[in-house]
Amino acid sequence: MAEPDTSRWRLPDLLDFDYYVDRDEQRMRQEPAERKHLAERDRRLYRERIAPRVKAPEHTPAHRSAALRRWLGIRRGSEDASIRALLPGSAFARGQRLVAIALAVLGFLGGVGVASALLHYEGDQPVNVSWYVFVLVILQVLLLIATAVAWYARRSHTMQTAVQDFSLVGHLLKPLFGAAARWVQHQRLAHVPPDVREHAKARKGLLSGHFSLYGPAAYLPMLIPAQLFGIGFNVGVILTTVALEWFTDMAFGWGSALDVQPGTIHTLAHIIALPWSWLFGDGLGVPTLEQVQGTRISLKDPLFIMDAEHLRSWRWFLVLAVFTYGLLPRLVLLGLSLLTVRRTLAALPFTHQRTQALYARMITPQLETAGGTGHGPEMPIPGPLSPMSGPRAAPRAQPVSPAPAPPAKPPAAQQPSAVPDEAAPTPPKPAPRPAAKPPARKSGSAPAAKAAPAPKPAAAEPRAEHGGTAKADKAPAAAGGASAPREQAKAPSQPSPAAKRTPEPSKTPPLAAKRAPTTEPALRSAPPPAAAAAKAKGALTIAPDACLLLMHVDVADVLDDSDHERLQRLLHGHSGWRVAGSATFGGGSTMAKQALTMIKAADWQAPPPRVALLSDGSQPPITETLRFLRAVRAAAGEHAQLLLVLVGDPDGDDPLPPLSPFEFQDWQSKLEQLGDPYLRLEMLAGPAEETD
Amino acid sequence: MASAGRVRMPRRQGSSDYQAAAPQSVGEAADRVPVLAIMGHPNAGKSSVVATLTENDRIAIDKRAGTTTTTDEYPVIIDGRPVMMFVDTPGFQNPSDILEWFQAHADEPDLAGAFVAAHGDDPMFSHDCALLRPVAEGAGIILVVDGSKRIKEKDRTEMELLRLTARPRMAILNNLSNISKHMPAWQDALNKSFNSVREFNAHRATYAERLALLGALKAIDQRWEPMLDETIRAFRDDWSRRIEASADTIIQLMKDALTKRVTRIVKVDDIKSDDQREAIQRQLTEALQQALRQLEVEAQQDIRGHFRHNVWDLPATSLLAKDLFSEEVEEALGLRQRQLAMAGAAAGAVSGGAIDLGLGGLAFGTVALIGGVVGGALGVLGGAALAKLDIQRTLGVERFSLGPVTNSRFPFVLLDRVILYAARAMNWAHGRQAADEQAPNRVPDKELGRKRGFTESLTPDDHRTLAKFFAAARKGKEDTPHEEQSREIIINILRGLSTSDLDARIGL
Repeated sequence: MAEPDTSRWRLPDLLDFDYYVDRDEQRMRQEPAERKHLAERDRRLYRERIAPRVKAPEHTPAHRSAALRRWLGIRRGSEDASIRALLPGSAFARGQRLVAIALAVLGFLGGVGVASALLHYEGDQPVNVSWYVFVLVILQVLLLIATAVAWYARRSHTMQTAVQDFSLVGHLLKPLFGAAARWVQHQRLAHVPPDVREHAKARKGLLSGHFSLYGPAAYLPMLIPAQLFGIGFNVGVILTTVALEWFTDMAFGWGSALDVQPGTIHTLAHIIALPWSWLFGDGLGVPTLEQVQGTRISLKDPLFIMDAEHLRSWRWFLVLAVFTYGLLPRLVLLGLSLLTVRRTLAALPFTHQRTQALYARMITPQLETAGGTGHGPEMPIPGPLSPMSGPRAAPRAQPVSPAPAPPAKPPAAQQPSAVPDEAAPTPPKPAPRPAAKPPARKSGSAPAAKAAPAPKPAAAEPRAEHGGTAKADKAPAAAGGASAPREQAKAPSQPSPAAKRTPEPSKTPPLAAKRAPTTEPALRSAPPPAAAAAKAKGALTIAPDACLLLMHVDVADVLDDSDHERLQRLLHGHSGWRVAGSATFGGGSTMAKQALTMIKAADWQAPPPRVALLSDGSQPPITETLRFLRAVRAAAGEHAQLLLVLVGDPDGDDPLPPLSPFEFQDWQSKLEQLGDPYLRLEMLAGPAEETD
Repeated sequence: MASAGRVRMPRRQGSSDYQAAAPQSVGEAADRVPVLAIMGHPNAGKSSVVATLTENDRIAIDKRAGTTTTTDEYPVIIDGRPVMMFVDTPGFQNPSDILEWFQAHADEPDLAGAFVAAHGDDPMFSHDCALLRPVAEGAGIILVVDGSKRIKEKDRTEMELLRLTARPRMAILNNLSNISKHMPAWQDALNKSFNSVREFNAHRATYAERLALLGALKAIDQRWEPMLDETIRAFRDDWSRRIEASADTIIQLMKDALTKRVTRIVKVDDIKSDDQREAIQRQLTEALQQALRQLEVEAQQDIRGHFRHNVWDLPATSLLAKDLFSEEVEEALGLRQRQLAMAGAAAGAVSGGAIDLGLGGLAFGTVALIGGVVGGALGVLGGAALAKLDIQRTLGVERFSLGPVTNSRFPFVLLDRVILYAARAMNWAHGRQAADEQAPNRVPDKELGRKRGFTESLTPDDHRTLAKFFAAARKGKEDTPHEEQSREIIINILRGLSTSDLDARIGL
């Protein structure tokens, strides 16, 4: 079985993909040096064999999906043929087929059983049509309606409830697939040459028997077999009915203890027969009124007084009813299921944290850090950080102009009580904040850190324009001094001056509560800032290969310009992302809300969003930290790629030192408890980075 | 000394009733037992501080953050009466939220209590409520911060929120590393919000430093002064009691060691050759050494018990981990040859010892001397035999007997080693169990000028006294004046060690 040249995912591919990613991860964990080898290998595969065939632009979901699929194809293609047959994917496919066939056969037998029970005919009493219709038509239609409702609910509610809808079926069927796949693998293993068997056994994870899918793909394996069961059932019913009618002269009838007029029954039958009455009309596909009258079973009348032709008249009605209401919808559902599987697979975001690392390896240029400056020739220089570079990338006058620019968001967010309306949906329940808060706070601690939130996002907005085209930004970036942004960051250390700097004089009343509602209109009315502001609103446009960087204040405090450049380079190395904008967090709920607002307000090209968080790893994570991560997840969406990079405590000149493995493990173990599969944790600078 | 109250420091779990032992009546604040809540963020070293202050090495301490998850109480009990209480709390988990809540409810008279009341049911705040509860109930605050790290946002938040609680508070700069560049910044920042700021290395703190810290607590709330004075006095008395008990143990060890004798009776017929005779001698020597080692181990356990150490590992490089009769020990401890000769001469009539000493002095470091009549090269110490072998033959049996120890170096080596052990026991902080001894930036143990023992630096007079005591002990004489003097000498050494007048030679 040669590898097809395709970018399309099938279910078994997901399992194989998981297996390979897992294997690489294990290798890296056991041998840190492998990291480099894998990076080289994946980059090479990508450049030589994947990039030429994938048309979509990098960092888009389409590209990610196609590139990863091709990567899998290459990995699988380089596998020995005998091993390939043992891969979890092919075993799973075979297992799924087995289960599907088994279910179809089971359904068929069930159908035969039910139909022959319902059509049980002794010859003294006609078969009662009503039961047949009730069980095989009405019940099935109800079932279909229930399925449709569930399906609709899945569309309208969040994904989670949908998964719950399917989890019932899932719990019943899932183990079945795993068991079948394991069995298949086992059987195959028994039939391969001994050396291959040993080889396969030595491979960790190959035979571990994990056949589980996660995320939106989790319920997919169930869809088709479930429909096959239904089809088998209906086919069984139809064939049995036809066969019985064929081989026995059956009498059908209806009866009731109530005073039901034959006309009513006739009308009902006609309603049921609507779909086919145009083709098989009265007397053939549906009994005539006379026939209906003639097949009424009354207790005392013996069978022979009835007209034989009348008694047979129901036969095709029954077959056609089951065909129309049982078989056809199932066939449609099967088609829909196939379509759904295909579409779901095509839409998989591949933003799982493990996948993030692989994708980053593929698209990140290989960088030789042999003591050089780190600027390899093919290295695209990441766009400068927004808050710092805003003033820097423009003329000196700029530090003044950004202030009017962002009247919409940042000042609003910065004023404590203006915030809640925007950040309401974030999960943590922050304590309500009175307007009196800032003065209370400043008495305690140094203002520098507190001041940070105000100017940073403010400066972020003008940067938005640069976001897309940031590659050329390098030169001006170098031109600007380090001092300008720093000053700017420190200057408005009191919240009030910052607030006063907002453009509209009419809005100066410091009553923060009032400002909140006015923010929106102001955004539209004020002409000169409007352009910038409008941009700011939709405007932090985040290109497909860019991300939002959230920095912990502790780290942001010690970074200066050259560090930002290095930070972005390192970040690019981990993720392949440039930095389109940045914000700080870790300084109270206001700052957190601001960052979250930024995530939500940003215009994400090629969603799901990409958020990188930079944090000080030398302090163990506390609940507060984890809650912020949750809030970010909530703001960014379920499948958004989150990358949490940790730095150590600066000791000496290096503001971005590596973290001790112990501290990293501590974080790892705590983040694992979050159970967020799309959150990736990395050290910003590995020990190897030290040398450069 | 015996009149001094016994200090007990048990541990009680759970926070519900931690003031049960204290007089509860409101308004009698002066009579109330000072309760001090040790606070800080996870991994700041709170438990280490508590362990060291209360000499409790059973407190679970781990390098990983978040080991302490409940509020545990460690009362100090003197003669059955609690005089103060330390409360070990979990770390802050949501400092920003607490601070923001405090600021939002600034007019609340009891912020901590109100916060606990408002958030008591929220599992998200369980740690925060647990740590604020003692404060709500009137405890003073000891904030522990890690002085080796930069001041972070979280630290500022915690300082500020503790300031808002308006309780008496002190900050401990627990710097476990040798990174001191952040210390001035810490001092400045802490001084703004705390009544008192002290440096305190929970892994290295000595007895003297511990007492100094307790003394400083008086400054943060004057009402506690009587209780704290009493506590400090009790600690002092307890300490001298421990020193005297240790000195007794040491004296006893010396007497036991110097009278130890091993014998073996063999039928003459069974001894076929000289080889066998030598084998018996070897066995006897081994038995004597083993007996002496055993005595030393028992004495060490005693001393360890005096200083309340339960969990304690010795680094393999320490002299204490080496065999008592190994070369390293013998070289590093005890007296120099000349000192020994003079002390020995003063001790006078030590028969075999003197001869051995003279010969040993000549032969030291050159050849192994065959000591005594039939001694052989076994059990040699400093070139001299450990003890004399005595063989008596009567009625068809030979009675081999080895001992008591006649080697004049040995008692000084043994004494040095047991004092070294005591020094370590006294100065080994109870909170040190989780210390990362391999960390590159840990505080180095004091450099040793010379790797020598304690006895060497005593005066010749003391040497003579000790030598006389040893000689008397060897003869089994009890309660000689030299014994009392030797005890004084040992007590002086131990006192010097605990007040840091003497180098504890931890690194040995």
